Formats: sequence, C-alpha cells, structure tokens
Amino acid sequence: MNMKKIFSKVKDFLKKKKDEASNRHDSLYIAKNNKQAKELGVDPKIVCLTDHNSHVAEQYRLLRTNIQSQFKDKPLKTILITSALRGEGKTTTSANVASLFARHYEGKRVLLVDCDLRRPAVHSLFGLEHTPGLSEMIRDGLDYKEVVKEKLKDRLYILPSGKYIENPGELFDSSTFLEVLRKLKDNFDLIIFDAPPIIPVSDAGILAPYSDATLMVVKARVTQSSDIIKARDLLIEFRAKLVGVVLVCVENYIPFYLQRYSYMYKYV
Amino acid sequence: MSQIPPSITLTIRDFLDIAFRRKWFFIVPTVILSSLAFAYAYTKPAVYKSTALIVVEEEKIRTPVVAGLAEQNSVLNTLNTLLQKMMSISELEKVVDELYLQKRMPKIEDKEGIVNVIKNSLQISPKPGGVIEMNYEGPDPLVCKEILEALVNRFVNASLKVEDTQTQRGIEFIKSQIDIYRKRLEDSEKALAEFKKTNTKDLSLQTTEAIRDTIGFPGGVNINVSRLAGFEMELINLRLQLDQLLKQKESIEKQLSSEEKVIISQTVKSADPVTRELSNQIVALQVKLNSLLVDSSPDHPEVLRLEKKINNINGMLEKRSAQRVEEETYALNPVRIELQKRLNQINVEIDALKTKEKTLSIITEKFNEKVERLPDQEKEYAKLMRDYNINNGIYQNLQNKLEMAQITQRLEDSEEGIRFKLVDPPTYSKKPIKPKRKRILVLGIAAGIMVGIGCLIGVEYMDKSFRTEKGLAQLVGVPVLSSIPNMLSEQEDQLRRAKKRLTVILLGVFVTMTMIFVIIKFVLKIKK
Repeated sequence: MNMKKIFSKVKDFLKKKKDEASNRHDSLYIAKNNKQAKELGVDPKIVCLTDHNSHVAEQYRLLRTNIQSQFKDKPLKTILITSALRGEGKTTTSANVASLFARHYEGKRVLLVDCDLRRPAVHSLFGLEHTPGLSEMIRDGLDYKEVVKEKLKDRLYILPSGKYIENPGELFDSSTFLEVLRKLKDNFDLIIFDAPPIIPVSDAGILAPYSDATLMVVKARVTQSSDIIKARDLLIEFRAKLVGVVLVCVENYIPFYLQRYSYMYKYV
Repeated sequence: MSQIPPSITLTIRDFLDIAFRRKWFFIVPTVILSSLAFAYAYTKPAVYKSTALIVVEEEKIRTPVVAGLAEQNSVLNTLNTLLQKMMSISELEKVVDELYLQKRMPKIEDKEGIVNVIKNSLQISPKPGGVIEMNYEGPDPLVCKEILEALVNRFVNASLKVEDTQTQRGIEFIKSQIDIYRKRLEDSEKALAEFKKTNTKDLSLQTTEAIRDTIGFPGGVNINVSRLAGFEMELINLRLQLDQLLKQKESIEKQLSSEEKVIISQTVKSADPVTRELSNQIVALQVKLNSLLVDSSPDHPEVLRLEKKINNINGMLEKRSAQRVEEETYALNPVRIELQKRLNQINVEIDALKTKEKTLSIITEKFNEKVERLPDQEKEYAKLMRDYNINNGIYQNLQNKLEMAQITQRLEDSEEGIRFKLVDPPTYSKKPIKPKRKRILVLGIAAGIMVGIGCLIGVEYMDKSFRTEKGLAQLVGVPVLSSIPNMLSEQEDQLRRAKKRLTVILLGVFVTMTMIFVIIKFVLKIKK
C-alpha cells in the first residue's frame, strides 16, 4: 500500500469522525444559506424551516416537547420568550419555536409577535418589512389582517413591531393593547411573543401576566449567574409563569478526535 | 429563593473544555515570553570568567620579628589593607594604562568608567583553609585574564612590601630604642664609677657587710640590688607587653564592630576538601621550612627534603585545581571568627600578665623597702647599681631583638617569608559562563506557561456564566428545557475564523520579528 492510499484512508477516517462529532447536540452549527432558506426568503438560522433534520432542529423539537408536556391538561395559547439582557438569542429562539409549532400543529395558526419595539429583529429574520406592525395596531387601530404577514400558508404568521414609539411599556399597559390581544387570541391558535430583555426594560414584565408560559433564554458562556438570578426574580415579581430556561449557543470546544464515541448522536 | 449560585463539580471533560476554549490565553503569553527569552538569550553579550587562587600563609614566620615592638597587624587586617590598596583608583588606573584598556574597551568612554567596570567585575571570595579565590568577569576572555593577572600580581607584590615595611619599621624602632638605652647605660655607668671613686674609703666591704646583715640584706648588697633591678626590669617589660596587648584588644574590638565594611565577600565558596587539605599541608611545610632556614643552610638535607615535599604537593594541587568543582555554599564570615578567636586569646594573656604584674609589684616594693632602710651612702650606691642593671638588661634585650629582626628581614628578602602565594594563576577560558541560554529559554517558556495558566485561571474565575445546563436548573429553580447549539451564519463563521487567523498571524509576525532581530544582532556581532 503506497503512502497516498494511507493518507487518503487517514483523511477519510478523520472526516468520518468529524462528521459524527458535528452531529453532537453541543457542536457548532453553521447556518448556510441553503435552497430552502432561499425559497422561503428567511434567515438560515431558522433551522426549523431551513434544515429541520439538523441536530439543532432536534434540540428545538426537544424544547417543544418539553413545553407541551407541561401543558397536557391546560390550554397553551400564548408563550412569552425573553432573556436577561440584550443579544442573547431571544429572536432566533422565538422564530424557531414558532416555526416548529407551526409545522407541528397541522391546521392550526401560529402567530409570532415582535414585541421588541426598541430593537425589532423578527422581520429581518423572515425577510419582511417592520412596518406596519404591532405599534400601528395599538396606536392607529389597524386591523390585524392589515399588518400580520403570512409566512407558511395557513400555519405561520408574523406580526412585525411596527414603527418605533417613545414608550412601548405604556402602550402594552393600555386597554387598547388588551383589545388587540383579545382579537389576536380569537384569530390564532398559538401566539408567541418575542419580548425585549427583562433587566434593562420593563416591557417583558408588563406582557408576562398575559402569557400562559414564559421562557427565559440564557446564552451559554455569556449570561452571568447574577443576571440570571436578577431576571428570574423580576419575572417572578411580574407574576410571569416561568416554565423553563432555554440554554442557547452551547458549544463544545473539545476537538472531535478527543470526544468520546458514546456521546455521539446519529440523527441523520 | 437562594441568591447564591450552586457550586458545580468540574470533571476532566470540563477542564478539557476550559483548556481548549481559553487556549489563546495560554498560547499568546507562552509564545511571547518564549520569543523574548530566546531574543534575550541570543542577543545578550557573552561573559567570560578568569579565576585565580591565592593561598594565605599564617603569620608564624613574622611573629618573632615585631612581637612586642612594632604595631602588629593580623593576617586579616593585612589582607583587608592589601585588597583595598589593590582596588584603589590609582592602582586600577595604572592597570588600565598598562593594558591599554581604553583602546580595548572602546564602549566605555573614560578611564573612570573602566575603573568602575573593573571594580564591579572583580569578585573576591575567601575560602576555608586559607585560600582566596579571585574571579574576574568580562566580555573578552583575554582581557579578563590580563586584568586579573595584573591585579593578582599587584596583590602579591604589595603583600611582600607590607612585610618588608613592617620589619624595617620594627628594626628602626629597635635601633632608636638601643640608642636611648645605650646613652642611659653610659650615664648610669659614669654615675656609678664616679660614686665608687668618691666613696671608696667609706665603702669598706666589711663594714657594709656588717650593716647589711643587721638590716636584713643577707648575701650582700650587690646581689639584692641586682635582684631588685631584675624585678623592676621585668615589671617594665611586663607593663609594656600589657600596654601592647590592650592596644591590640582595642584595635580588634574596633575591627570587629566594623567588620561588615570589609570588602571581602560574605559569600564563601567551599573549596574542594582535597585541595584544602593539600593547601594546609603546603602551609605547614612552608612554615617548618622557614623556621629551619633561620639556623640551617639551604643545602641542609632536611631543608632539601622539605622543599621536595612541597614541590610534590604543589604538583598534586595543580592537577586537582584543574578538575575543581565550583559549588556555592554559605558559611560564617571567617574574618569575624578569626578576630573573635584572637580577642579571646588576648584577653587570657592580659589576665595572666595582670596577675604576674601584681606579684612582681609586691616583690619589688618589698625590696625597695629594704633598700630604703639602708644608710644614705649605701642607698645611693644601691640606686645607682639598680639603674645600671636595669639599663644594661634592657640594652641587652634590645640587642637580641635587633639581631632577630635582622634575621627575619634576611628571610623575607630571600622570599621565603611571603604570606600570600599564588597557587592557581589566572585562567583563560574560551567558554563563556553567561548567558546560560538553555536556562533562560526554559525559564522563559516556564514563565510564559505560568502567566498563561494564571490568565486562564483568572478569566475562568471571573466568568460566572454557564457552559452547559449543569447547575443552571438548580440556580433558576425551573427546568432547562433544551440546550441549543451555537449557530453561526456563514459571515459570522468567517469573521470568527478571520479573528483566529489574525491572532496566529500577529503571533507569527511577533516571533518572526524577534528572530530577525536576533539574526541581525548575530550578523552585526560576526562583522565586528
């Protein structure tokens, strides 16, 4: 056997091991702008739409299952997703959770509402305009049909944030918002609120009592324990129904050749 | 709810994860410090060392010369004086001129600078067994050797001069005293003769004998006056000795209190025990030979035998010193120990002399009382006799000492009486002793690793975030519903890779620059 063959065998072996390691639940996922993402016009990070066979999508499925398991005997109509601080992955999580429920609930309508009027991001993930949106609905009294955008036919709907306004907290605390919320609940089977972070602004706290379940997103290696405790205490203070924590951006730094075989997950 | 985050037990896997995640905290300081250590080790100029060994021979030869006469210095005092003289600016300037060091050391601008460099580069370490090691360190092995050679020669020559001066001073002192006592002796002889001439008739032996017997001078007045004179002379000598010892005591006490100022290094390097033993043997034989040469001719068989033996041991010593092992140890300051020993000895001597003085005083007084009871004429005669005897005794004593001093001077002139002997001449080594490149490199890498580990631990200690779901549920009080892997868009992935690449490139540039710097320095050195 010549050297070239030996090298190619070694190379194949390493590639195989690397592929196996990349299927681990804690390995890094590179969201490539694939065909599905292009067709749907969404960000490749919404893996539940673009690459639903990936190990990341599998973790989102696990999240959905865990949420559902807590609501076997009671109705789940609204979910609030927030985090302690900004930039921790709320919007990506909200988009993926909404997509997953939309796929899962056949014949049911899922609405993702961008409640972060300060730094809206949902529309960019789904390739939409952020106006008109929620703020116009509350302030200008627009009908939901005028502002809600359909992303998956009869399944997934997006309500962008709308125009930036001075004090969103006051807007959420108004009777108009309650009226809007009632209308949305009447027309959609599941509403997911992508709320702003709980520590810097109170918007998520105001929205929390209107939600059946609250999820707190924690970014691995970034969110500090003290911030997590503070966010949890604030949510409890605002009478949020905190059902669980979602740890995002988990990454295993140990090289694949050092990882134990027993940790491998083969879903592909 | 509890505000305290739960303590998480870390597994090997967690440690591995930390190590790989924070690898740059470890790699960057290690690479930087290793490169700096490399640059330092290979650009620092080489330092060469020249070593010389000098044997200190004890003061046995010299003692009889000036004992009780001249101001007597101990070996250590002399050593100290010699070293200070050797290191004096005027002497060092002479060395600079002799060796053309201003031309050979162009980096140093003036003579004063070179003198300072010489002062700082010379190390003198006394070793147990009467050996002094002199080391000179510098960038040129030949210059090192030459400078040390010049200094050592000056030291040895100065030691000969000191001896000579001391002996000469002693002889001059004795001669001046001889003149004084000769005059006194002549005066007392004259007075006695005159007295005898005028009182011959009155001093008939029989009458005087009768008187002596009645007042208690059995044995005759001459004998008793002689005895009184003897006692008085002894008393004078004793008091002189006592004064000298007290002076010595004072001087040693003064030296003891200022011992720290002595330029001799406090760090003592232990000599090879075999070398030490051989050196001691040589010193002992040399002393024996010198004592023998005082009253024997150089052709005496015993002298020849001793000389042969000394030569044999010298040969062995040279062989041994070639394979000498340097080993640093710390010992008590031998100078201080020696001084303390000498002080104790002097104290004992002072006590003994004081007791003797007391006894002699009583005896002398008793005899004086007896002389006082003599009639006036006899009293006068006894007094003159006593003066004559005292002066005569001291004069004889001084004559003897002068003779001994002259013998010792002859001994010194024949160079048998030197006290500092060069055993190992300054060495010439082409192998530099500094920089110890391997050690610097190892230390640099170790320091880098330590700093890296320190940074890693520090950063990890301050980071209170969660890497995995372990402990998170316990902290929040609700379950962790899922752990979502890190997702990066292609741009983010590229950015991340670019950052890594940039770090590697910067490190590479740093290492390359360091190497280039080292090579340039090396090339410049070769060109020079």
